[in-house]
Amino acid sequence: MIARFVLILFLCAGMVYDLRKREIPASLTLGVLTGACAYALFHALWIPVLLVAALLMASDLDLRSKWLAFAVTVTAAAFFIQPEIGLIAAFILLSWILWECGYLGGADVKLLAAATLIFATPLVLVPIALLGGIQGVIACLRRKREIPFVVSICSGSLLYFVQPYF
Amino acid sequence: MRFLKQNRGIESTEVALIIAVVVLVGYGAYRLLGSNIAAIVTDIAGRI
Repeated sequence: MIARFVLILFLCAGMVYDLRKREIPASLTLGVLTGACAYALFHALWIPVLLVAALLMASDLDLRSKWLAFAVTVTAAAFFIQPEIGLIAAFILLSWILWECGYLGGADVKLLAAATLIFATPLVLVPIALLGGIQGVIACLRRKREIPFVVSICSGSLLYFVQPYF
Repeated sequence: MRFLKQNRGIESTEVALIIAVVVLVGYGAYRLLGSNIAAIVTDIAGRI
């Protein structure tokens, strides 16, 4: 509960930076990701944390395919251990691939991974994607090519956080 | 590390729309077929 609330506060700070500068400070994204990994480890989500560590290293190596194969193997193994953990791992892997292909910003991926690890479910992606779609439609109507996605990440996480109380 | 240094917080509108459609279709399929898929996965895991 407290961890989720702290995450929302950090995401709000990231949203402000994103709206102002289109960039989020490394200290903020790294702090959130490190905290989320530590929180996930305490909640036995070691497979997604291992995957995040593997992907951090994979981004620097030439032999990406080998690391990617390792990541896919970890995800596949996670599916057999517990489907929910496998979905979390698969989601983190997918967002990293989108970053590698240049479709997502690095800060977006780090904050998305942190939100998934702290909420411990990939279902948090549903409100984030929905709000991202609405943001995309509005941007299309205003003839803009790019959107600050951290706004969707922050508001989607907030929506998922408060939704049980309504 | 390259991934840690990259702090861009921006995304193209097309990608946001594609992600929204894919996630919503996936979630809809999960709500419709989730219990059946879970039973099949549990069955396979049990066999292994």
